[in-house]
Amino acid sequence: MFKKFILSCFILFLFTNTGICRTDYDYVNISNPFLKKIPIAIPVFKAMYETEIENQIATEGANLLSDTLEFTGYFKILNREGFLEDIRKIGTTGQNIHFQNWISVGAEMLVTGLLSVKDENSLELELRLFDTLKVNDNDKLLIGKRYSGGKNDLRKMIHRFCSEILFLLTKSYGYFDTKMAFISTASGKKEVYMCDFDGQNIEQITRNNSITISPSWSSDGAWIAYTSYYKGKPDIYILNLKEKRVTNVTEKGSNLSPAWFPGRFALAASMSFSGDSEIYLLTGTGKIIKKLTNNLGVDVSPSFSPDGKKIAFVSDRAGGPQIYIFDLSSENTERLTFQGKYNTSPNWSPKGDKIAYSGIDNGEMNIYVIGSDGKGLTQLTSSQGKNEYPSWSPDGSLIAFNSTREGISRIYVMTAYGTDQRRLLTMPGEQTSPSWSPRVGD
Amino acid sequence: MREVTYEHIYLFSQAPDMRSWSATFVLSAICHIALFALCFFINNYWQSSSNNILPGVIDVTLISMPGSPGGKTPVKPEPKSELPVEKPMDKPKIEEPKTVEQPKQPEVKKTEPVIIEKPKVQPEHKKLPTPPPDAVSLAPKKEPPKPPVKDVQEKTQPKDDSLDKKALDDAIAKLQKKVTGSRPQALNNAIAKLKRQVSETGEGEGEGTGGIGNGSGGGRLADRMDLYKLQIAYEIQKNWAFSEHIAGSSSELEVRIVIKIMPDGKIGDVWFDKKSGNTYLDDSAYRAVMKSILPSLPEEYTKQFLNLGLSFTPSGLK
Repeated sequence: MFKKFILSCFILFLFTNTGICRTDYDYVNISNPFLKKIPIAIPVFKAMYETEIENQIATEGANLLSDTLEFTGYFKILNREGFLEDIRKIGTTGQNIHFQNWISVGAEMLVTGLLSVKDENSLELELRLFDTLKVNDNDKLLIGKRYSGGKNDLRKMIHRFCSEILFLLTKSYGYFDTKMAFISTASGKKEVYMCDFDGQNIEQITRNNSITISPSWSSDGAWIAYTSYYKGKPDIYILNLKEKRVTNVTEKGSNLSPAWFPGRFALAASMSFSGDSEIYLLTGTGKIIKKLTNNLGVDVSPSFSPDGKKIAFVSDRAGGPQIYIFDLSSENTERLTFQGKYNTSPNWSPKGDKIAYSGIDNGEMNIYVIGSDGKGLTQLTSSQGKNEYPSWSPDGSLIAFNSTREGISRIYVMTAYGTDQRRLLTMPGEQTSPSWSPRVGD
Repeated sequence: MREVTYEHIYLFSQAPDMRSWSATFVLSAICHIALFALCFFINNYWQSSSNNILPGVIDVTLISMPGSPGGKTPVKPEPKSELPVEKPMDKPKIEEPKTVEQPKQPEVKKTEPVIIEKPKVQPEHKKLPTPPPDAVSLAPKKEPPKPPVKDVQEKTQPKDDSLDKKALDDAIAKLQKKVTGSRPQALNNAIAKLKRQVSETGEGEGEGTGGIGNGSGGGRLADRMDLYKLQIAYEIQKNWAFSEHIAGSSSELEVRIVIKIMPDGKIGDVWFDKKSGNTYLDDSAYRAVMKSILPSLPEEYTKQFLNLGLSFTPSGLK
């Protein structure tokens, strides 16, 4: 018994003693970060043999890396002119770099690259991400990767590395291998186009020579469904991107606004063959599975929740267009939006917690985000033209939309908080209805 | 011995013997009370015997400070904005000599300028038959300690100036924006008021590198320390880069870091008192501390170091 007493006393003493130490100092509260982004230094890569082509790729690669990281909205890319150290001279590994030189230009992170082009087509690229402020030298290297491939793979290599960086920070690989489908009048008529997530590599997809609208990606990235007036009235077309094969859904009346079921070869769309426009569930080949909504009034623009259990859609059952949520299992419908008289084009976030939409309030059309429970309404754009058709990036960090802020309608991208709004691409004609592809992976 | 070990285990696992368990519980309760009482007395004794140590959380003080204490304290907080850019030249010196080759001291100094002006000469991979001076140009980098240090300094100093200006302009612009913006307003107000007080009482003087100078007799230690902590908070906040966007929703998060500040302002030690559970927030706070160059401790502060807790609570964006 006595032993037990001693033992308990001893253990208690250990605990309480640390307690005393903990409260031994005063606390200063710091609540407002001065910078909202991570300052990162990306010097021009080091070229192994310094041939002309290597030097060119070294600059090109570093610039692409900077642009890609800047695109995320997470980083502040530091100006190279201020750098105190030239990694092309001292080398790209941790032993060679004097991190104090990078800390003093404000860099919390540093990316170095070493590349070699051995023959015409082989490119080897080593990329390293350092945390300049880690005390222990061995902890400074956060990511180190070597990529080898052809010269044309530079973009892919850089994007892969950016994915790694993003994963390290956010536990999500980002969207660097994704594409964006959109509608453009570049050819004179509204057609579906496609480009990389950053607006590069634009290609025309449809050539219907007619009005084509509302492109939507299947969740495996292999199919795009859209609406076209090719046959004089709106019909749904389902396109296999690889095989360039098109199926169409030509029920009587208007067949509009297709949206893919997550993880299934099925889609929801608005059809009016019964005389009233309702939302139906279709197979991927266009056969009707069942009628979902049943209500007088127009029901259009479905968007699935990521778990496939609910659909957000637009209905004018209460007068003006508002957003409603339909529960597929209980078949209940609840109204989501109450502010403003005109709310359309809902797009459910990949995380499932939010829905972005465009709404008119005070005579302006803007992008809003609302919780899928109806709480936390946030306006993301304001006083800058007409903003519509929001589409989430597959990681939920960015939203693409189209806006007339610079005159004609163009595609813009912003963070999910509405910051860092910028134009995605410049091309002839008007661009609308961006639709961000899922991560296709490879 | 063996018995004791088993009983020890019972303390933490389910004890089958209820009597011994409840006895332990009672004992532990008694010990708790005794220890708390002890702590209380020790703490009281400590506070009364040592110099008047400040009231706990300075957050409140940041805003209400100018009104409350005697406030005859000389401050010049602004010059600090120049600091982070200036000092860091010290460390490269240490790291430089790592890769040592052959010593060729006398020639090295002559060739230094050559290296700087010929960025094309790439030593590491091109083993071309270049003329002697170029070959030598390899050397300075891999020389024994002293010459290379100069090399670095020569290279960096001029750039440093331009950078300084740029960074400064940048910083000032940002500061102004920030200051007129939301949160630091309070801080800025406090600083402005303090300044006014200083100019009114005419006591401000002598301040080295952003540290607190020794004003005349007026300032008590408590005021000094409040001010000092305000400076620290400001300096670290200035270096804190944190994006809620990356952290996800972080409104409820808090990370507590304790720093041990040596008399010259150097940070002797850093540790986490409480992590937030969000690695990115923890890292960002840690980086902010490591980037910061802190003013030296006030002279009136006689202890060998100051342990100061920093509580980072991002509350910014929507």
